[in-house]
Amino acid sequence: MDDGGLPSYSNGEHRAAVKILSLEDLEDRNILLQSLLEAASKPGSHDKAYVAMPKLLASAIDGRILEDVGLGLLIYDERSIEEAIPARINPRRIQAAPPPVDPSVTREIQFLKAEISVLRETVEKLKREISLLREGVKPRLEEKVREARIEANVPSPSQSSGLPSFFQDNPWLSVLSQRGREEEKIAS
Amino acid sequence: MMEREEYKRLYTFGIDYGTSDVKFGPITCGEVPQITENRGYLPDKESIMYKAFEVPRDIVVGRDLPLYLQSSEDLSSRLIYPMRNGVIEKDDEKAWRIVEELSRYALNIFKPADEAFKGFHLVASLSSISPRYMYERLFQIYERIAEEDGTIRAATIIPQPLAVAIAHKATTCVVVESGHGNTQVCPISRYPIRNAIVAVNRGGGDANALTSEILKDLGYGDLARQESFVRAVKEHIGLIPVDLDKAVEAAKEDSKRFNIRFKVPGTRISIELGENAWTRFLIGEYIFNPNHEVFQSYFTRGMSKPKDVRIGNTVFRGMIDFGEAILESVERCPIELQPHLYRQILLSGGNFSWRQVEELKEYATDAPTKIRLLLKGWDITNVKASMAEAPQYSVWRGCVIYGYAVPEDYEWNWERMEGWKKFLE
Repeated sequence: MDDGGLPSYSNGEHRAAVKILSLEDLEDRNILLQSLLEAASKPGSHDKAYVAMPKLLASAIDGRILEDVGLGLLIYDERSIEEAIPARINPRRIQAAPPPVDPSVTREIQFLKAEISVLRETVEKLKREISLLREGVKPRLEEKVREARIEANVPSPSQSSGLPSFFQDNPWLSVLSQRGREEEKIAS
Repeated sequence: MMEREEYKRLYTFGIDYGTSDVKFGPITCGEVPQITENRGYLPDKESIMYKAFEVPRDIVVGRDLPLYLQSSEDLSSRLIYPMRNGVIEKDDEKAWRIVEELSRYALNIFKPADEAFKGFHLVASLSSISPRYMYERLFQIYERIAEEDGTIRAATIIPQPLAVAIAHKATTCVVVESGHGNTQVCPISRYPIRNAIVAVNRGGGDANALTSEILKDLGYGDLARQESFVRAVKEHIGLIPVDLDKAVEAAKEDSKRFNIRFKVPGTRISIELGENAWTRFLIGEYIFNPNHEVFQSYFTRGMSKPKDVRIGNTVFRGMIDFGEAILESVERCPIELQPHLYRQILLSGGNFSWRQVEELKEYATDAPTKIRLLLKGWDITNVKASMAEAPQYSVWRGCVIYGYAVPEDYEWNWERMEGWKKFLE
């Protein structure tokens, strides 16, 4: 597979990325250095990095420098490939596995999910009630206006109204002013 | 045309056809209506006196009636009280003619000259046991008056107990209306509860009859025939006993303490009870409860016993005591309502106006207390009974309030027996 632009190989436990160099690549000193840095710093899913180069040139490389940075060295010719320096496992390169989840956090999440579900239902219910109220308010307002008009026809007499004293605070005035209206209310 | 409310404030008219008197007048009368006796006189057209009048009249009503009276012999046939027992028979044409004449008379007294006047909003009040045909006849009369005199724009008829409840600002109560001929017990809960009405065939006239018998026993037989005299004696000497047996016993032991003398105003006539002072208590007791054995001797000697009679569709109970009548009426109402009804019992009508004698209060009481005592005998204790204020006028007052408050556009409804019959626009 390709890993961050380098070929990579896995033995099941680890994945190693390999920078392969040819004789032509090493004609230029800058290319060698660039290849070594690329192999050491390339991000990816691998946890080991190797530089592979021909046997002919391996003697010109100082192996300790590679060991210090954790790079492995593979040498090859027409017949074989050998691991001259093993690569060190680089923990920074291993993608962090998800930490084990605390059961109390799981419970908390479940609780919050339940709470959200309840809140969602409450919001829906409130929406429905507001809608019903909106539908109900108009006719009620109209009814109140009608009642107010009826009552306005029979005002409660005041001391100065000129009506006899037995009209004062008489509850029958409002009772009787509704006569003939009760059926209308029931019908509506 | 002036505003409706302003018009009703001027031209709402109440008329209460009581058994003895008609109370009538527009809302502008204030606290008190006009009163005239509920009677009419049919003069003998062949008499010289009748022919001598400049404007001969078929029927005479109102305050001038006594001026037209002829010999006392024909008074019983020509002087007619059309509503003596609260109900007029369907085919009693004389009575209906008198009612029409009285209604015209009452309305014309107050007919204004104002051009804005287009007839009164007339509210009439009848006994709660009046049958439907009385309503129909009365509306026919009003229609004629509206056409001929222009004094009625719209009319309605309400039962007297409802009018009493309205005048007393009581929307839940029992009204006991006791007049000359009968007594009606009517529960009210914003409407009259018609199927719970109990009618009693006993009223002030029965107390008059007993007083007349007492006067005969005292040797005043000649005076005992004159109803107005008997009535005056009854009102002056009659007492309601707390307990009849104890009161009679005390009065027999100490007759001087209970004695009373009555002098008829403007005459030389006076009567004194002396040793028979105990009979004062019989008069009051008889109204509330005629079942005591002491009354048996009067029945035996010819005084008519109050009987159960059917008038219209209603059976009037003769001997039921007032406590039992109230109980029977209230128990026809929903159970939840019953305690509220007992807590407001309104006593209305002249038959509940009895003298109070402070020095005899151990033995004599007032009508509300007597009602409480009678109901206590039936184990009903949470009772509040009171007298209607100005009992003579309360029906008229209720009529005026009703006419003012009920919407003008509410048309008469025969099912509900309410609303307005319109005659003039």
